[in-house]
Amino acid sequence: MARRATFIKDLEKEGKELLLFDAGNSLFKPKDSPSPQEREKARLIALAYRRMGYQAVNVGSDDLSAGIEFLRELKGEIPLPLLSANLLDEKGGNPVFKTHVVLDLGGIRVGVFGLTSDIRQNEGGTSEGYFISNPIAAAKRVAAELGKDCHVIMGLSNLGSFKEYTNLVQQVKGVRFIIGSGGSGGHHQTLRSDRGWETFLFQAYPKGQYLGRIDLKVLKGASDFADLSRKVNLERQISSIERQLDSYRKGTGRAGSIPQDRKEEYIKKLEEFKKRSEDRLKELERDSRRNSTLIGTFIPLDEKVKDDPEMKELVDQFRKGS
Amino acid sequence: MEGFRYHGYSEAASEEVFQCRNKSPRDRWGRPVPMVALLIFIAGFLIFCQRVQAVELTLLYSNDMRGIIDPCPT
Repeated sequence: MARRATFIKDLEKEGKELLLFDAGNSLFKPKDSPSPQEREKARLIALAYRRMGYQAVNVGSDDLSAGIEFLRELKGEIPLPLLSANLLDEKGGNPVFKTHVVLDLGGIRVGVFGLTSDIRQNEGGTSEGYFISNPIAAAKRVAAELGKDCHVIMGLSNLGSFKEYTNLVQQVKGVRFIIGSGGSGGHHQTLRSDRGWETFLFQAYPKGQYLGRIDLKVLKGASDFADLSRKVNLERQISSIERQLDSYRKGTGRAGSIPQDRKEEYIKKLEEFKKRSEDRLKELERDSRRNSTLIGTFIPLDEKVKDDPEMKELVDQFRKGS
Repeated sequence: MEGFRYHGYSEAASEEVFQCRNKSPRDRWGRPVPMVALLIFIAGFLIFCQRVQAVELTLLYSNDMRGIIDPCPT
């Protein structure tokens, strides 16, 4: 947490226009029945998020482990921007928290909504005082509303499995980015619907060891994005092919022991592969000139990132008290 | 063909304007045409500038923190 705060502050000092989101399942361990101490820790996390300046925090199914009243009280104590488009009050059917938020950054309007997985409800877990409605229907409604006046729509989704994300992308139009939670690994993928639209799915590795980062260059008049992260991979691929070709042509390394006819076959295949990679790179560069662009990375929060003193003190105080 | 000569407001000038009816649009609208073209160009340029106006944003995100306040180093 203290390292994350340092990283965020450093970017702020650089004058970056920042968006800071959490996709859910931040407060408790999975399928937990939280102890009083764990509830205190959840309070600490909420306070830390508030201080770091999080603008949108999705309610994940695990965040409901201590019940809806705990979350309501927490929101009352610490004004955390909790979101969920499908977490509804059991009595009135109204959303418990805000369904979405619209952020205006340099004239670009970014619409962000939250989605909660219904896994807890389906598995017969406690769901006193709330009801989780169909996430796809909720996403359709909120995306249609945000689509009226937002340049970019982002979903913070707790749906978890890749299959569910694919289903979401197939059915909900206009959501350009999904930041996911509920899974186990890290994702950075482009999902294409059968009906022609494209959505980028991002999910950082769990337990806070990495922070996800997406650098965006948004053109007001271009809603399509070119993923320049692929450019780095393609450039690496091309230089690797060139090294292999060089080795086959000169007969150095392992290539020295390969018969001449097979060597020529390999060279031909490598040249074709290189040509395809270069064509893809050119296409990407062309796209990046007329479209908005993105570069996605995962930031390891290792020892190289120093602790933020203020956040460290907060964590240390909690440890002393517990 | 004699070109259109611009005069200040007078009866003679009005007569000359009347006589210009059969001249080409370029001659007839010698002044207004470039002005309209300029306005169209400026409007187009402004629309173009707005479309290509880029805003750089950095999105940072976390997920599945699972109640951990001090993760093990990667």
